[in-house]
Amino acid sequence: MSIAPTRLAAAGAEEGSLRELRLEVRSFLEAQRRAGAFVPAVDGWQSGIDPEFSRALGGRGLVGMTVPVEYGGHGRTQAERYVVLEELLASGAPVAAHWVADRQMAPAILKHGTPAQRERLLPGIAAGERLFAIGMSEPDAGSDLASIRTRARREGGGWRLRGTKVWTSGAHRATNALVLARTADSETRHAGLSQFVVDLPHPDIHVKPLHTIDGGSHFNEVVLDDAWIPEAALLGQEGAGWAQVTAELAYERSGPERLLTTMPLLRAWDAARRREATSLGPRDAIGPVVSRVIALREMSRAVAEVIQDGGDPAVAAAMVKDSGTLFEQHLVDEVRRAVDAELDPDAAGLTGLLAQAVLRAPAFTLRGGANEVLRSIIVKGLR
Amino acid sequence: MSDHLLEIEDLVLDVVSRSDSGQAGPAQPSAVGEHGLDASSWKVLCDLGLVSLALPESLGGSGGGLREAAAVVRAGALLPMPLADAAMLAAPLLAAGSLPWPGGVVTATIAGVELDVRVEGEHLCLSGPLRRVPWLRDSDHVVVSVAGEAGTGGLVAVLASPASDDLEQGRNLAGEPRDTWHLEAVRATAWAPAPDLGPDEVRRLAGLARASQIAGAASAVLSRTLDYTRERIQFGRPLAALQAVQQRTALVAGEVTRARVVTDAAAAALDAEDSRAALLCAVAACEASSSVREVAAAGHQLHGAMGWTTEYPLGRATTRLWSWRDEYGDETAWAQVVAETVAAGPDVWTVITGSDEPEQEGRAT
Repeated sequence: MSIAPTRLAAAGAEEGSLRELRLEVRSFLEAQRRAGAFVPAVDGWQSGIDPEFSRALGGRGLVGMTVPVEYGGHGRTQAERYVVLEELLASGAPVAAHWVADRQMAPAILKHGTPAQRERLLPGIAAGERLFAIGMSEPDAGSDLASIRTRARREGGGWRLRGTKVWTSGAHRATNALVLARTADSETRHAGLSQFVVDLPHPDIHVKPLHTIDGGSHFNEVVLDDAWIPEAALLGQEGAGWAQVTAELAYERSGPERLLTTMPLLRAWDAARRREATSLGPRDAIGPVVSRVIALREMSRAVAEVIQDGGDPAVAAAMVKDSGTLFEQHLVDEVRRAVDAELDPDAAGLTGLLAQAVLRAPAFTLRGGANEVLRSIIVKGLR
Repeated sequence: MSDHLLEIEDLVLDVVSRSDSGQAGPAQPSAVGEHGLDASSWKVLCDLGLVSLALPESLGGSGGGLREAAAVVRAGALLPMPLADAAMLAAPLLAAGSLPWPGGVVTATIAGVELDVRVEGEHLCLSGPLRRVPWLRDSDHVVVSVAGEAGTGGLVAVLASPASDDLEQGRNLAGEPRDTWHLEAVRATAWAPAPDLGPDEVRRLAGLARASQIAGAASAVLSRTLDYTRERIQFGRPLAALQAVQQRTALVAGEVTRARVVTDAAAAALDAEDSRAALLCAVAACEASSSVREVAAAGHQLHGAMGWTTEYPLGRATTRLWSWRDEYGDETAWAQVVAETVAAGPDVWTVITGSDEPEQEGRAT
């Protein structure tokens, strides 16, 4: 049943056991930071690729938390996972390497995978070792995903993939890619698409980095040059790719990463204010910013609860993504106006983080569906 | 968990749809100063036990919580009556003083420092002004919160409303009565100390009451805007088919949903006596007030000139939104409360997540 976003209810207070988990993860991350395992960054869940750190988190049971124990997971609740994600995001830790494997591949494989696929893929995901890249967008198919041209045709007891994917985060370090390809021509654009789990590296799959204006290169162009993959690579039903992709979008769009991407910047600003013993100004800029993030967090938690209860909050999830990512960008601007400094990407501390945030912010309202496209979905879904 | 809230909202929405004042019909002509309390809807809501939800049954209430009361206030936001003042301020004030529900039309207010309060024997005698009391001329009783002196708890007094002649009548942008009463040694019909209710707590309740009204009225603006833009044909198609219209409507929906969820969260936190309740109330008031600008502006823009006329009921909602956002503190005032909370906490993320080291019972032993 679809839950009207305008009838959402708040999730209520965090239970004591969740709070303990939160504090435990927080102190672990703080210890890691002090030990130099990472430098807090803005957008760590997309830009911070560090397979070693992902493995360390996996070793502590902080990846694949909701995956059943029989598949190497930890059988934890969605609420527990949510708390851990929040702490990871707010710490600015480099969690991008395993992020999509944890967020959408584990649930997708649990839902659509064969028993063999679950046994082969899930334990590695939960260990933080099996790292996924998602091959959806193409040079001519961004927001209009259904117009992809990559094809998979049957050959030799498997499939042969041909096409080009772009904006594929982490493909250069990933152990696997999820590729959306057309397997049949169809009158309706949404039919005839299928999903494949491809092992990387692959001799006929060429990964080329794309350099972004923040100096990073986590994006890639992935050329599928008649790459052969076995039959077992098909995930779910042949031709049901569109339904499978859209079903996972509620997870993808309403999570805490849609409002906490710039939280490390807010924390750094807050820390600087305390260090310098800055007294509260009249109409202090930190007030509206903190108010907004608390409210957005309640929205995101409300949607998480609907998902946990088995509801379909697709429209509300799109709304969290729109409001939350706009806030992520707004926060950068508020901190910039409060901090009187010229931005230098090589600077340490708050100024450097601010520079990083300014350069990375354009991506926030694009990935996961451009906000303008989401707004059309929102309006059509409202009664 | 939340199903009963939806049931309450549906119950109230049903009352609203039957009334000729809440949704349908022209906006009341505020320029003329006509207001008209909807006495029949008030009675229906009272009979259903929906006005005094936040008061225990032993005191004549319905024994619910503020979360339920907030649901009533959201759904009944546009009814012309002091519903929020009664359900979210009078009821918890009475509960704090263990005073019974006085009956009739009940409103509430927070006394300013100019009000002189004396205990004479077993009576409480009040002199001075009560300023801009909502719907006072139409009320039977007003529940007054009086702050205590220097750190002591306050008290709660119930007064029988005066004759209209004794009132200095005022109104807000929506034409809702905001009447000032200059009391001269008026005896409370009932009163009690409310030691647990300091001025900050009372202010929070009042802020959340207005925030809940805003959430409800904002939702009504969204709903009207969706209807209007889907029905109105221009350029050979509904306005809602235009992407520019869709974009703006979706942004309104985001504002409305945020106001709804955060007011619900704050009310639930008050009921649960959660340590985050104070902060969530400030956030709710800040977010609801700050949602008003875009919700009202977009509502009017998307309705075209029709929405600006009193023939169409949009103005009934927007004029209220523009008044309520300033009453009991605007978004700037409440944001400052949030800023103060951050400054008083160990660090911003701990404040946001409400994760101060929990006091664990028995840990030391």
